[in-house]
Amino acid sequence: MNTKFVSAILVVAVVLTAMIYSAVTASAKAVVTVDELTIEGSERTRIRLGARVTDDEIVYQSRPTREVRFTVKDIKGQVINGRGKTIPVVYEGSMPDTLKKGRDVILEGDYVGGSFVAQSLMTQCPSKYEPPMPGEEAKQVGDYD
Amino acid sequence: MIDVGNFSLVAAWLLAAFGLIGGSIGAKKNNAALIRSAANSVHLCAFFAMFALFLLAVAFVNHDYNYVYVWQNSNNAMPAMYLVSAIWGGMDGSLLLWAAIMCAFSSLVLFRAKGVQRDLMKWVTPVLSGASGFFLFVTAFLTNPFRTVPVGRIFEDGNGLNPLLQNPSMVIHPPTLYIGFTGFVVPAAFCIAALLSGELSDNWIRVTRRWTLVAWGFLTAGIILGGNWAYIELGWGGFWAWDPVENASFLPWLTGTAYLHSVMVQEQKGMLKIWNVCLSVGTYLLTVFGTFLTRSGVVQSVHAFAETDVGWVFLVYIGVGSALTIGLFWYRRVELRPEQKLESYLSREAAFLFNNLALLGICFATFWGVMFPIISEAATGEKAVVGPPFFNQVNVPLFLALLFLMGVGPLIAWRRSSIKVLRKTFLKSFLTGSALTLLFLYLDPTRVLAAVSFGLSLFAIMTVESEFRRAVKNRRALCDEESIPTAMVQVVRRKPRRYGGFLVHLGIAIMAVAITASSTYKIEKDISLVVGESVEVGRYGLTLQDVRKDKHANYEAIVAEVAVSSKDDGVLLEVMQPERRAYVVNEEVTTEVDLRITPREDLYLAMAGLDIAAAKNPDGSHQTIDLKKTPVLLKVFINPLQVWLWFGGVVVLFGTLIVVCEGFLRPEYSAVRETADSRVKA
Repeated sequence: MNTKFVSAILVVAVVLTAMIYSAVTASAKAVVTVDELTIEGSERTRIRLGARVTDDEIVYQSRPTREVRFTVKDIKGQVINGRGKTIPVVYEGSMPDTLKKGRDVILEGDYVGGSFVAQSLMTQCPSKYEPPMPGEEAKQVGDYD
Repeated sequence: MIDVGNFSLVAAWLLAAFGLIGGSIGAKKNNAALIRSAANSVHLCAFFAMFALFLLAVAFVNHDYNYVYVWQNSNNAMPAMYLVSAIWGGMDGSLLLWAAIMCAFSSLVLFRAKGVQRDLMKWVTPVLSGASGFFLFVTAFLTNPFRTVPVGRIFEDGNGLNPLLQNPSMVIHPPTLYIGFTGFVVPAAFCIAALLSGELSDNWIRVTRRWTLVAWGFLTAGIILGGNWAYIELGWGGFWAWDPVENASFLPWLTGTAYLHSVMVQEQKGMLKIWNVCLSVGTYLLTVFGTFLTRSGVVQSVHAFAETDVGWVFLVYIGVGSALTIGLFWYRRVELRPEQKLESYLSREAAFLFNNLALLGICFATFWGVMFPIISEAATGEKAVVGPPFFNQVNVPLFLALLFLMGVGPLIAWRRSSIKVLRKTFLKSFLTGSALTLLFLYLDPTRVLAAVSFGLSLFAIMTVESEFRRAVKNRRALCDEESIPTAMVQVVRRKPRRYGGFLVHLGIAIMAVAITASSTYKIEKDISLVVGESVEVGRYGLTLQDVRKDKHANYEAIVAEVAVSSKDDGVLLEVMQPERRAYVVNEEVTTEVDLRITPREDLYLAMAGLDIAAAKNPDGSHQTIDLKKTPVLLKVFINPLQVWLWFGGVVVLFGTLIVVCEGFLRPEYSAVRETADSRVKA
């Protein structure tokens, strides 16, 4: 075997593993659901929450500070007495106009004191890449509940 | 009409199947007639596949809503340009485009490679047929774009194309990318054919070099166009977000780039043979993996495509392809032994080796990041994700290492160099680059990586510059009547491969500078203005002059008129008009950003929406709003040196073009090679 060749590969592999390991520890976010958060009841930081915006009002202000408040529920969660478990969300940022009642959102941030403080908010557009079949109405936002 | 489309697809598939089976038997039994008819079936297959694509285009242009796919992706109001681009607006058409381009590539390769050894070529035919046959199978039987609406239903108008895709970049970006992706089937097919036939000289590499370069050029162009589309169309001020869809196109680019470098080591030194086999087949399989990733919904992406079951078919294909390659490689392991050893780390082959390791390191880290949700769930039971910080943290240092190697690699000697020689070649550029790094560190000690990146980019640019200057000087010493520009053209013309490659490096270094500047020194601000109000951002004063509503055929726009003036002297520079469009048909809302591009920086305005409208009317209607009194939400970005990213990309492509046109630029050289090749054949 060519020792110079093999040792070069080994050194790079070791360095790379260390880099990936440290980057993962620094930036991995656990993916959680509303049900998991409410059942555990504990505070969790650095998480990604996939959830659905409820029909409660989306409160929004841009002055003096930017803030969006809404509540989310589990996408597949159980509904008891007409309501499933919900979590209030505070997002300090601009109101994206893709944020609407019934939309699925991906939030990144911390679950503290019973509410979710989101640093980032992404809205999923369920109908965007799934055109309807001919004759069907295009899926309206919020009506796939 | 309907039946013709389906007929073409099935015919193409059957011909590919014949090419695979008949070609294999012919090659195995050395049956000349069978080998020839398998080759002919490849050409005929390409004809039918292209014809099917043409029929789909005709259906779109004629608004033939009998086809489900046409109904889903177009409507009567769309301009003709977007009717054609609607072909790749969805999965079915995209896969047909993919299959058709691959068939066309296969056919062209067989035409062009007539002079190549027969023992190799007879195996190339079945391998290419097998590759395109798979895609034809998928498009004919699983994602058929010629599916029709239920009998008796007649539609006057269609659903329309996703407005985000109604952008000039989206007309050329997908086909460009697909040409790049599918082009990598050529080196992979020749590699497999070489393994099958045992013709394991570096012939397969020489023959496919230009094809690989063409594929690489298109893939590079496709990725840059995609970044440009994201920058202009998505309104978030950036061009790259490490999204799974972007990563899917980036993975084969990395291995393809590694391959282009490592083949030079095999050509010169007879080393890295196994490596090259893995890279050429790996690059091709990664292009298929990208399709799997985007079509299976296996990883969550903000702009991933529809989740389908079709994706898993690609995974099976990748599995079979890998198993076949590994089996063949084991079968030929003796022939694949290296002819020489790596003698010194101070040599060009070592620089290429490290370049490859860095590229593959980035590839692996990116792959790891993309698959992390699946990996973490399998390992710990809990799903976790990594975002852009992960990719940047791992990949940026590796990119910096690449920048360094890019400066060193082309000028270091093969086999063995010495510190003394290196000092002579690199001392000046290395010191200048280091000085620049120190200067930036002095100005801002917190931004270490940016300072290193600028220094290394300068180092790489200076080595290219010194090499050009040396060559021009030598040339003018020989023919002293030549002007400097003429001498430069002559230098490039006489050694296109070398100096075209240098141009590619120059372009990459320019892009590195632009990416570093625009990501490190980006200014990003969310502002909210009522008509008449002003705000200062960076060097600019922004005043909202007016907000108006424009009605168009298929959308309604809210347009903000923002006067941009210089902060220092108050001189009006431009009135910018970012828009918010609400499409009538499918209720999509898109952002039309406005850009003020200067060599120094881009001023980028995107309208995030209207304040009250967003709060009071969540359904998106704006009827009762007084535009003059409603705060307008704007996102302002200042991206330093942004335009140089695109300029660097153009330089890269120009350099690639020069290398590809080697034979054209040096006709006398290529004639010599042709005779040499035919001698080998005889």
